[in-house]
Amino acid sequence: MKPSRWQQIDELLDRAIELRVEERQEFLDSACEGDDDLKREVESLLKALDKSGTFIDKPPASKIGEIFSEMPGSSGHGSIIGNKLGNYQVVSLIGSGGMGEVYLAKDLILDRNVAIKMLPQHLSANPEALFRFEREAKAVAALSHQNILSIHNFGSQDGLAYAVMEFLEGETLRSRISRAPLAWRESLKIGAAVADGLSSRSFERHHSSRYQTGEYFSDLRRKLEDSRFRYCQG
Amino acid sequence: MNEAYLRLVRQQGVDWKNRAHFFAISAQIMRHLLVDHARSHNYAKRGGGAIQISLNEGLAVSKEKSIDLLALDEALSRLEKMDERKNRIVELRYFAGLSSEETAEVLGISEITVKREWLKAKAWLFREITSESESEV
Repeated sequence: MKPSRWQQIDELLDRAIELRVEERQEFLDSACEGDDDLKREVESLLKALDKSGTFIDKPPASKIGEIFSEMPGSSGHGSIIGNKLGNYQVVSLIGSGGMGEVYLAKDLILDRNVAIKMLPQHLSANPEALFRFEREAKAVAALSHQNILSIHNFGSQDGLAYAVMEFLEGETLRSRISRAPLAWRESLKIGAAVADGLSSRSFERHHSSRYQTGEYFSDLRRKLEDSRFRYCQG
Repeated sequence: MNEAYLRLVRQQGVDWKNRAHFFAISAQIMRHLLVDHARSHNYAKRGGGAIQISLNEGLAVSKEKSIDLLALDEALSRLEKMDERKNRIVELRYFAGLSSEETAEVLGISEITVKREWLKAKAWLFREITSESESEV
């Protein structure tokens, strides 16, 4: 569309918007002087304005929150690396996403590596998110299968909720697939491992439909995990 | 983590002329960030080309009605070609979250003008985005 045409439309829109709805038609009929294209264009924009409701009235706050929480180390925890959470010493950040950050940590009593998932600060303050996080942790804790990620502990410190999980090295299926296609044999093995995990009785009983297949590779061990724990480790 | 963001932040020799300039750049950074984010998430959702069915759509905590940011960005770029001022008003209000009063101050125009331009830009963008999704069906 030529800028001059747009200017014409723009001016008519201004004048029409100021009128009462029932006066608009008469105004357009006379102002457009038989230019039906012009009239249709203005009418269609007035209709769009009526229908637009709260469209773009508010900034996409939750998307903005996601972006900032995905920036490593910028989710409001400050740096917790080197700090202690209960009996765990945080070693390094190993992954982050919209729903939190995952850290490698050392279990100081049992002397082993664990993965600690922390809710970002803006979600730790959100009762609904906190409730879901805890419920997911409980659901995972109720499961026991070699192909399902296990959870060791759950707690909160300084208002930040965290879940302590088994630490697995490898990458997520998601990242593996986006890197290169899987050979069919490998796909089959993974599919079977996923199916094993999904079909375990405890899994069926607990929220089976709430899970998706985000599994870890680790020396051919495959783990199903809750989608909210889908972080790449190692 | 985000090329558009890093590109803008690392811009050497940015000479902040005034508040208006600062807000204009901030709004553009937010726009880039959101669009890149939407693009990468759309890509991830498609599983890098494979078909993926998620069992987990119900997990989102936010009840914010989602707007197709990629479509909005494209429509806004078309609007910009015809009407630069409306594009800037939308960037400042939607991407930088300024009120109409603040937008007026930043652009050095009256608040009435901002409100009027905003309504017209909103109508135009809404029509562009909804007619696109209708034609896809």
